[in-house]
Amino acid sequence: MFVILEREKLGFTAIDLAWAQFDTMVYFVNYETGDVYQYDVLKKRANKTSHKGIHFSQSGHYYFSSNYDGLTFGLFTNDNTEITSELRKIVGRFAIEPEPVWINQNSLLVKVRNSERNAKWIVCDLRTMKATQEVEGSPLGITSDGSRIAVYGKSGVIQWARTVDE
Amino acid sequence: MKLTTLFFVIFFPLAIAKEANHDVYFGGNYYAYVTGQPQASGRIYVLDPSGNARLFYEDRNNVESIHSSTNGEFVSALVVERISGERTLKVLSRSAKVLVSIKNVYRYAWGPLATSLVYVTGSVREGGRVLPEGHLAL
Repeated sequence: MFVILEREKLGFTAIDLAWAQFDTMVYFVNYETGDVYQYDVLKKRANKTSHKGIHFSQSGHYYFSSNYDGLTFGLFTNDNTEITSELRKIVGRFAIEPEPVWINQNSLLVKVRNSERNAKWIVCDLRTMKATQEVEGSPLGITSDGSRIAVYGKSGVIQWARTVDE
Repeated sequence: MKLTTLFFVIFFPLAIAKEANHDVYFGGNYYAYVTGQPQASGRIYVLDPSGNARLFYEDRNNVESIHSSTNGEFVSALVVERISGERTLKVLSRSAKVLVSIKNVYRYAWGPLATSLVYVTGSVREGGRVLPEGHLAL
């Protein structure tokens, strides 16, 4: 299958996009207005949504917004309730970097920073609104079951970090 | 726990190639990828189940971002040629063979099916600002 939706057909320029796992829809952003659209691949139909972001958790219960230049960040439930402030309570005095990564069904791996040199990654379980793990270094990848993250540490050695305590 | 995952747990930690740096990106499944320094040639490494960081793909241009498809069957890399401002999406097989090369891609994402890929085309003006052209293809 190969479909091209040109600007003339959409009526606007599509920019940032993501393919959601929970409903298999493609979500993308109208460059001019910032509105989020949902594209049904099978029906070949695009519909405007009330969502404020396109990056959905695997369960579909949460999503985050991050504008195309990566400068802003917002976390929402699927019914568009903003819960960014609740996430900020988890990370404390650290600032949230704009491009986190979804892991498991409802957990978010967030990069936080409190100075130019001091950054770390925190796994946040959004159901309990608690940090389940802190990760030093740079995450490289994650096992398919979501239980472990490969991390590139400062010493140049890759180690595993658990996403939840065992 | 799957067998491949078990291998990883047993063999880590491991030393990664010296030229790899902190510019790392998420891959999928059992793979992880590391690119070279910005301004240098792009390199993608695979951490294979035997615990070695193996050079998977190298490009003379910069590799800006990398992803793998949902089942790890394909690897995609967005390669940026900074001099011309051209952004090219390359889809690689597991053998690092380039299957598809699409110029002028700005954003892309793999779909739930390994063979499904969606992307937006765009161009880069001098200074690095991205100007979308409005094509959504999948």
